[in-house]
Amino acid sequence: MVGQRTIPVHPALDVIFPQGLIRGSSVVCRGDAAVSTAFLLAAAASQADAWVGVAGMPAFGAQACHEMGTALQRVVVVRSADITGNTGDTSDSTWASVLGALVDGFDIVVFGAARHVRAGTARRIQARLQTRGGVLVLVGDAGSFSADAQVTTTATWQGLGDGDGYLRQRTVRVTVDGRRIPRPRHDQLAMPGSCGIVQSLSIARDLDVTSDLDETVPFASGSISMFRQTG
Amino acid sequence: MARAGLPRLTVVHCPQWPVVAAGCAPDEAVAVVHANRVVARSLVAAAAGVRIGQRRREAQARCPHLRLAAHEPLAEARVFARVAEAVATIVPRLEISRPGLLTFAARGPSRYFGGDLAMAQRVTDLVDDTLQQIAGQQAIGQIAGRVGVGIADGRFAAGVAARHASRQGHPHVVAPGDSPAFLAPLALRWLSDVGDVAADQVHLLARLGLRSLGDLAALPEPDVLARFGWQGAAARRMASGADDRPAGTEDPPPGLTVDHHFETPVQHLDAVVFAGRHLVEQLVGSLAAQGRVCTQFVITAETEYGERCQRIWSMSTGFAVATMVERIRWQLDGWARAPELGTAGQAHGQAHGQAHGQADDQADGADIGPASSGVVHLRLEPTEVRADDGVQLGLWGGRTQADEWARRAATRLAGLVGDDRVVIAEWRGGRQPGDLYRFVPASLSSVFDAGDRPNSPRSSSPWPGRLPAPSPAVVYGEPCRVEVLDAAGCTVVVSGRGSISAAPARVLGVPGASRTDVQAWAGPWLLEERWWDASRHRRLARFQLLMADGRAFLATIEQRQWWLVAEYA
Repeated sequence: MVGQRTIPVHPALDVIFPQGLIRGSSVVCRGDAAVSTAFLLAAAASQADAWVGVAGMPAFGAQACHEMGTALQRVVVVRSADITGNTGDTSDSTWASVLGALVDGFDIVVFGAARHVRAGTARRIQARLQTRGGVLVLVGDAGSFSADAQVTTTATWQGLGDGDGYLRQRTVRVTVDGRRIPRPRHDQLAMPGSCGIVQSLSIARDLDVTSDLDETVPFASGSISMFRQTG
Repeated sequence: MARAGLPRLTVVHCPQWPVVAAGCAPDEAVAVVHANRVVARSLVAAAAGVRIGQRRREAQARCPHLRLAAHEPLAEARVFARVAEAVATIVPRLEISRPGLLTFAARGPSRYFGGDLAMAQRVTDLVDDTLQQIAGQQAIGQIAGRVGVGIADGRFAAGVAARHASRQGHPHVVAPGDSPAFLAPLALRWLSDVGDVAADQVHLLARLGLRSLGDLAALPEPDVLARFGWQGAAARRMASGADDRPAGTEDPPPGLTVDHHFETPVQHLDAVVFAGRHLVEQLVGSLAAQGRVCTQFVITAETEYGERCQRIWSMSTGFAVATMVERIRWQLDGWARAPELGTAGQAHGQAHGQAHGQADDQADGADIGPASSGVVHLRLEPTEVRADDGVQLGLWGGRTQADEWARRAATRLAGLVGDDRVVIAEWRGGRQPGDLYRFVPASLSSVFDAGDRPNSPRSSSPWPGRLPAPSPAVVYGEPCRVEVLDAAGCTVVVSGRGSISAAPARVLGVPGASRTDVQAWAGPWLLEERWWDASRHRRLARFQLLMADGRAFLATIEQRQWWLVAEYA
């Protein structure tokens, strides 16, 4: 995989990233489902034994990362100096060296504190990224980084009622545009869908599988035990 | 049957060492737990029916007032280093098989102190004194059992003798050449308890009608080898008291010793450990090229004033990079000797150069003052290797260039932001999203080692009381304090029986928005954890809240206070 020009992505992202992630590029994820989408971008690569570095995300939800399909034993998390969630104290120079090391060693770098990095540092990091051939995934905000692709997400949750149900399904409308993308690409993703699988609804519709799935597996496994109290 | 050249070894056995290191009063029931199993327990706990290998819950059922302590190898090694220091005043080269177990050659010290028994008695007194200082003048015998010193020909016999000594309360010396006779009447299970023979192998032998070690030793060696392979042959050798080293090991080829001279004395423990990591990689790499793995090695550290700390470390299954680095850390950390023994976790930054002779001042609580000097020389010398038959690598090798780069980057990051901030998530399990994973330092994890993928999450197994998937992608380290109001503007509360006062309508204090309307909600899902433990008892109710702006949160109410603990982002 090292020699290839692109990094594979999860099959659900085939519509919006038909070529996969181009090595040396930066992607910014925005909107309601920014964090989940960033994890999803890293999923296929980590399954294919690529390494993922995570920084600037003090509230890293490891289980969600795992549910998006990322192999956690391939994810190295750099905790911010201040674990309480306040990344503002971490100085630009610290981020410069941390990002430098991450970009040198990891195929995918997920970074969530882009707005704390100055323009000069961002430029240097991106130059290094292109030489080294990694992919930088920015979460929430591109800051001073110039992103090659922007992923905008709008999420709709299903399953929660007025005091009943639970968050079960999410439909995420995704739009990707950027400098090298002539026409914005749109898609709807089930993150997760009715049977707990992350998939692209447009692909699923083509294959005509969603209608069956809706009825066969109404609840994700584990829902039965959720009301049980245990000591 | 004692072969010429069979070493006469002394084994010092401190029973239930993790309990001693965790700190324990004589009348207290303490158990040390690792991966939900009891690994060590105090005598009081043992009397109440707590057994090694028991599940945590079962142990608590047997002994309700049981205090549980986590298994902390670093703290255990650090406390045990004091025992090793004390013995090191009379014996030059020590082997710490694991915290709680010391092995050294008996011949030299015996001659000096006038016989095996006199030497053993002296070692017992030394260790007892040190343990008294560690345990704060309490009789260690009442906490975890007495220290046992055993002397015999062969490693296994000496280990068994040490356990006997621990039970009898005085040193047990097996006369030269008497090891086979000493072992012959003993039960076979000693092989698994002391000799690290696999338990099912021992069961198999027992099922075949062998009752004692003597029975096994009486079988012809070629037959045992033909039927049970080299493991069986090794077990037979142990049973006949003729094992000089762990099964299958050999002397390493010369020229493998690696060392590093620091140009300026290094006082920072992490820095020495990083340098050590490079040495370990060199060593493991050159051994791996020969298809071998190291089972015993010597770490020597020297300060600029010539103070030396030398220890032998061994592990019969062979050292991987992470475990070797861990031993370096144990030794240096123990040498640096944090003043507060028994408290784990804080990697003490300074590697104080401490001469052996100063041990007594330190033990009396005297102030060491600032570090006298830093480490200038670190040396690793393999003393025993065996063929690596552990992990079968893939046809194209288990490690790729990408792994190597990632490992280097992780090491560099650890240097930049600190070892404990470069972490890998390991599945632990729990009911709250923040409890599900434990973050272990990448330097101690074996994810970068070849073919070793130990921590793949086992989250497919159900965890009762956990909220079902999807899980929140943002789990706040510190929950965010909010106020949840009903339509009338009153704070929503949950009664003790789990009924809610009114439907939540508004949330005040959501990060990124001062006031948000609730569009949909579900709950309360009650959670009561550790009701048997007054200090860690938690009782809370969980809710999922979907806001009008489309954001979804996991909220909890505990003691009438609302918190946002995670966001489904």
